[in-house]
Amino acid sequence: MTETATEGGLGATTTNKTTTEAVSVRSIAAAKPVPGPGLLGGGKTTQQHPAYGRIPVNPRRFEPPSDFWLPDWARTLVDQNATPEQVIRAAIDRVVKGHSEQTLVEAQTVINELSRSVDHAKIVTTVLTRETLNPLLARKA
Amino acid sequence: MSLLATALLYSGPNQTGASLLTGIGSGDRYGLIPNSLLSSRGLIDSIASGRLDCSAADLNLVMFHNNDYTGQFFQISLSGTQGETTFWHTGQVNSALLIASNNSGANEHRIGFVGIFRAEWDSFLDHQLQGSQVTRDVDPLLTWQMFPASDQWLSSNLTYLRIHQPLHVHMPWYWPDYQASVDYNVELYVTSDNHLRAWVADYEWWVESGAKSGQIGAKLDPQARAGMSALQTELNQKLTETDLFGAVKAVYYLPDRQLSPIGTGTFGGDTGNDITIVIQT
Repeated sequence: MTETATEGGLGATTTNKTTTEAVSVRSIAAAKPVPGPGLLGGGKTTQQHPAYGRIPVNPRRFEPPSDFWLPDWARTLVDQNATPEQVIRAAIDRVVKGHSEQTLVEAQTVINELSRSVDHAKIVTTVLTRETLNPLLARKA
Repeated sequence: MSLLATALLYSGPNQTGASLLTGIGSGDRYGLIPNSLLSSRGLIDSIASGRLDCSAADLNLVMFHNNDYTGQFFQISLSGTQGETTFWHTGQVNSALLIASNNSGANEHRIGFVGIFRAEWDSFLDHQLQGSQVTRDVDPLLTWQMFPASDQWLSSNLTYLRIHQPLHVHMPWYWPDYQASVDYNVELYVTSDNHLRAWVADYEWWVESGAKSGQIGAKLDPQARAGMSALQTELNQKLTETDLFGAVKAVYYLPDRQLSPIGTGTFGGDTGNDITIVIQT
């Protein structure tokens, strides 16, 4: 058995000792075996895949499209010297007004680009409150 | 399209430092946070805190030690009924997944990959290897391959159950024996008549280095290739037991053994221990 230093819990770091339960990982180290030097082989099946009843959903990926740069609405705000908070709110508003792959990707990419900076990440935290997220998550207030 | 969940990951404690916003849509099951993304955000081994929000499903943030969604992991889960939580975390993270589970309106049936197939595998393989110079070595690894990025025979958009079996090749005379292994990657899918079935996507083998590697590989290859069809039949026979659950709508996986929903809480484990197959009806 190997014990790792990985642990975590719910709530705040400073209060976890009294209000949350920390769990340490203890498990056998059965990571993907990496074969040593030798000969590798294999092949894919030649059988045709049977028809799907439900097509598997592609996983959501968070890396921005390689050709992504500022969308027009964000560029306009930047040209008008808008604050980072105004840009973040505008991104969220666009998603609330029209959920789509495009508005979500744009909002996520703009917010993540801003939050590379610690100061701007603080603004993201301030803006993305429960109330802000409720309409995005179709969640009741 | 609306969002099912969002996860804000921070490099500092108590939602400080640089952050990364991720989320999954209402039709999504998995969100990928690969090593490259963590690296570009300075979050390798540095996810110190975060905030999870979700609505119509439970959200599971699973942080893996390895960069391919395998190995030891630490999981933070949030119940859809609770809706929001913050968390703290220390330790190794080289890749992470967001997984939606327990969707409202769906019934879930959870089974362990090891529990349902471990015993069958031994007898299946022994039968396949009968009369050859090869025998099973140590216990197999029944695990997963999630969105394999660099496997020539698998899709980077799909998830697979993986069977890895170390083998012992007995050599005649005084020649030293060889180590070898065989792998099968299996896709579980929902058929057009709403049953859960298996499709063996590929086989892979390895023989340790030596003068006889090529000869052993040449004998092992057709055996392993023939095993695909037989394994698929064996798995599908076993999966007919899940027909009792009713019309299957979806199947997905959770790491290690999570036969009951965690709700809101934490869980640590290893993808090498087991994989939970979740069947939604």
